[in-house]
Amino acid sequence: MAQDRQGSPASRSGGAPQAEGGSGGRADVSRLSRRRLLAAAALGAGAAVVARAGVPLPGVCGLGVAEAAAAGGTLTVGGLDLDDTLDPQVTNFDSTIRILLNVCEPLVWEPAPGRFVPALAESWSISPDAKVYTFKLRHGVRFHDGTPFNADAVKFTMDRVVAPETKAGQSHDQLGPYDHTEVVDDATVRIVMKEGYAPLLTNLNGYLGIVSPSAAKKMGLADFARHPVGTGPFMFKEWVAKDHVTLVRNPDYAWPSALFKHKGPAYLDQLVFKIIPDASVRTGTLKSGETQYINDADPLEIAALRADKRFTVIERAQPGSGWVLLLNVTGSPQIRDIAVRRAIEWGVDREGVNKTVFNGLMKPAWSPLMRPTLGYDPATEKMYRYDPARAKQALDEAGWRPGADGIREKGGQKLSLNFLIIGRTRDKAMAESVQASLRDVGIDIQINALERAAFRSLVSQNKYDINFMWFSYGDPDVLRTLFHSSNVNAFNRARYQVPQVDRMLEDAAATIDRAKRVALYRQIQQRVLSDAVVVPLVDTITYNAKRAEVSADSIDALASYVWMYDVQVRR
Amino acid sequence: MLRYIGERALHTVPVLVGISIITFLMLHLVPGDPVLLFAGDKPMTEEQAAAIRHQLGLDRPLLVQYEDYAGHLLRGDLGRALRSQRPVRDSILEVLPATVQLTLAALALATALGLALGIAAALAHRTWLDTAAMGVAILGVSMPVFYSSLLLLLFFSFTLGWLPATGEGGLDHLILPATALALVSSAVLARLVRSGMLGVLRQDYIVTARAKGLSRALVVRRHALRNALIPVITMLGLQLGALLGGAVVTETIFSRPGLGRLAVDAILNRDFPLVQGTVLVAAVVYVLVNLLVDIAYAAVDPRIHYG
Repeated sequence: MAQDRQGSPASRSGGAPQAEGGSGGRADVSRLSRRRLLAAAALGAGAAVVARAGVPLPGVCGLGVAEAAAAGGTLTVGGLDLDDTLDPQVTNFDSTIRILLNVCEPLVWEPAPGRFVPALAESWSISPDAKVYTFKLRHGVRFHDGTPFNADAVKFTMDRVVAPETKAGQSHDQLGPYDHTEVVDDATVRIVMKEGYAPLLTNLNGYLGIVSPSAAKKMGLADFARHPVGTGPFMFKEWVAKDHVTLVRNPDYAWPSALFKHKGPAYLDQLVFKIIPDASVRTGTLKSGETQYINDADPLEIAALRADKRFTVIERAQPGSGWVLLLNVTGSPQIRDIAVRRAIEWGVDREGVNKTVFNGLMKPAWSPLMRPTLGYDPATEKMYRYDPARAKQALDEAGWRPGADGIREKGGQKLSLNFLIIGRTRDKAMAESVQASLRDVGIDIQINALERAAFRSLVSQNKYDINFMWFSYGDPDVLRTLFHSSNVNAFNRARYQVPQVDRMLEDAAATIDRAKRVALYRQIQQRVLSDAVVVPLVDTITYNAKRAEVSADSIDALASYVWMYDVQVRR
Repeated sequence: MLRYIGERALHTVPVLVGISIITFLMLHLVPGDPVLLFAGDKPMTEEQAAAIRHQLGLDRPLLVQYEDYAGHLLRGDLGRALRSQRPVRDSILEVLPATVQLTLAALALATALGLALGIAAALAHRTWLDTAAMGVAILGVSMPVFYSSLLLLLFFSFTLGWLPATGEGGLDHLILPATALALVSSAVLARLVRSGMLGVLRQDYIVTARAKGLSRALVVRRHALRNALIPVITMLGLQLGALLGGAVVTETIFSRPGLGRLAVDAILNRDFPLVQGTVLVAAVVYVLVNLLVDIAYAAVDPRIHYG
């Protein structure tokens, strides 16, 4: 997801619980409460509740159901603004998917980069060229409207993504070079790509959550966008625009992924997602107890929350491509000079950007791939460092001499570059930080901050030297978006066209051989850095926060989507 | 009286037409190609752009486009939102009650506070009470809404825990945002009431009324206040515009649904029909309120005549 695609600036970001590495104290608490619950079930209290709720009690799941009924309660989550639709295939907002992933389950979940766990698919196989994906589906799964989940529902969901009338959002990009879906039998489905597309598994997340075909057909697009129907552990109850979305427990839920810790319906009776756009207010509601879990805590409050035992800050690094500068190799004569581009690599103070713009909460970056991404090459960390002397030396050697005002010149031409940005607070702050460090080595940066449509028309007319980019994405194939020649009129804002790199990018996407992919992506990272068409600035990290009484929340590989199925709130 | 109302109402017609022209032109006044706003993020070829331009009717002469737009408006059709495909009218009607509630509560609070402070300051002219009241008023005028909102939240929600910080609901959800929103307007009104009252209290007819033996309270209420109110009513109409604008900030901070936030989110989502719809409705509300203000003059001041 590109930085200038998003409606709200922080739409794509989330947080991560310290599910594995959490504090010992909290782990003890959750163990304790479970023991207490087991005791209650043994006394028959749990069984009575189960009988009243009328939940079928299959032998194996009995314990889980009893626990669920005894747990109950409501979790109130404070999140960012939502899209104007709750249709997973139409929305462009991560904040909306954070809700919908509890309602419309996808085929697979990805709890850590590159690790896939069955969700609605029981198992899968992928052809070696990454073109044909065959999924065996789980049996006995029902949508919230009572209709059965089967291969037809998968085909219906995938087909509606590419149907023009759906006006699909992010899901359309995620489905890649989709060709068609074949229903092999009721429980087997084959998704076929036009060309090899290794990122499909990682992309089968909430945006490609399976929807009920009968509900979607009956309601039509506009209505379904307000009443989504899936197979998830929570069902949609109400959406009060700009205020909150309420989900209730699906009492019939009996098909949890192996990813989760319990069976049967979810513990929570109700999930309320409050929309609280202002980060400081969101954090305030966590402190006052109005919410128990928040996405994107206020950066200024993180230290205080960490110091307070009543709260836990959940920090998680994102995969994909972090904040980078793309240097336009077809721009002005100045930026076309590789010495100038390399001087920028040496001359930008990444830690300075991190400190002044992000309160030091992100991580200085040296590769166009963020650290958790498959194929991230640690060797890139040795290619450049912040070294103004080295930058000046590179410029001196190339004949760029300081002029009277400190700005370098060569052949009567000033070393002045046009940095085109969208006029948003954060983007301006980052651009100014870059501008300040490059001024020190004698490069003049003219920041041109514009409205979005004006920004886009200048980009499409190729009237810029430098552009920002940021993509959070689960697969290194994000490099194709940034550096493949076919994307020169899209997000390849460096307008970088090297046939050899194109071929490496294509080969890396068209195989499921992980070792081969990693080797190719390492070569590509080193190549684009030595050509100095990309200047990595910071890797992004998401910061969620919760109250100590919330336990067993976990987060996906994108560091964005939080699973609420196992969550309990201690009272 | 009816004739006056009818005339004033007629005067609003050209204003409304002007508003519709401006909201219509908004799309074309924004820098960049409107097709880029509608088409979303995917890069496209010239042919694709032309197809979208044709599909949206943007390739027709401006006048024809406006005719079409105005025709739909007259039928109460504000178009469909780009993201949700939902009629804009439905989205607006959904949040309008919350904004009306907030704005009216803030207006009532601002009026009550403004009158009380202003009258007290005028009657206690040149005493500590006067200074204190005007001090409060200056603070109110100077403090930006987002700041007073956050202070109120910090104190009453996050520290004392008396009132909920976010969302819409009962009276308890309304108190903080209405107060935050009312502060600026009440300060403006207080200063106006004070100076108005001070001016009127020096008039000969006040002295006469007092000399006739009327009580001070009665003189203040019937003779002084009523005469001091005319500019205050004008200001109330203007303040409503400020309140509608301030609601954008208040609604965001207090996470309340409302027209202001709908408009801001629509702008952020580049959902143009929704932006046009919200701007149009806000402008129409503003015009209608000022019509009410004109009518209120006549009710308060029998000297105001029509025609």
